[in-house]
Amino acid sequence: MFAVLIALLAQFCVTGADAFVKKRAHLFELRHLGKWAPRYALTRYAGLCLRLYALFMLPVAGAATLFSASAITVSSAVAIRHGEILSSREKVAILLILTAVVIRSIG
Amino acid sequence: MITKRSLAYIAVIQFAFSALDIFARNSLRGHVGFWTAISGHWFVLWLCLQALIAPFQIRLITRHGLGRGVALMNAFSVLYALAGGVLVLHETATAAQCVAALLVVLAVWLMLTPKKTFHPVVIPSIAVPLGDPYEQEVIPVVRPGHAGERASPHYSDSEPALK
Repeated sequence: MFAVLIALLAQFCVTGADAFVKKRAHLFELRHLGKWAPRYALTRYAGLCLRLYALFMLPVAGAATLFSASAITVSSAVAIRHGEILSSREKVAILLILTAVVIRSIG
Repeated sequence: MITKRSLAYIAVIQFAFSALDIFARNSLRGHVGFWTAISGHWFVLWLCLQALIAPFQIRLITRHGLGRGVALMNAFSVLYALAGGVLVLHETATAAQCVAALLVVLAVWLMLTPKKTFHPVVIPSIAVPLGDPYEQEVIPVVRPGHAGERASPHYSDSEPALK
């Protein structure tokens, strides 16, 4: 259970970094690098290191499924919350991918 | 909608990310504690390689969005797991893995093909008055000797109106 919580926390850090950088797409010029790069690097590396820790604790197949499922769920939720518009076909596609990830863990 | 070129881009980025994941797993394996495991040179190399692919991931997220982009990345991870198991590790693909791969292919097809919409053909309009064509305007006609008489729409000088 502890490893699952660590994996979810890791995913929140990674998705938080992605959402942060998506909102600042207009600041990608070199002179604006100092405004967003340190925070992005810190949150993303924190997430990746937590992910490594969960990978160390969990069995490989279980970790892969947990990471993929949490990445899709958390990212889609954050995307919708941030005003990203997904068509009904895209929503169905995301659900299919999520189902595929879960089915992969069975076999 | 995702284009084929974008799909190829996402596939390459996910390939690099999956390769780094496998590299980290192999390096972590066999160590007793987590801190001793990440104190090796591999961890610095892993951090540098993550930094190298980060700009491409940022581009992916900003171009294709968080929902679509991440879902497609994970879709490719399912396919890579199947392909890696069969081609590299010479494992037999289970029924569940085949179903998962089929679902991913279906999902990618859904994202690649937009829903067909009907666009109405716009005909250049001419100056035609709107409204009921049978309802014609009644114009008051002032005739000699019949001041203020309202003319019928069918009234004409050659054909006297019926009384």
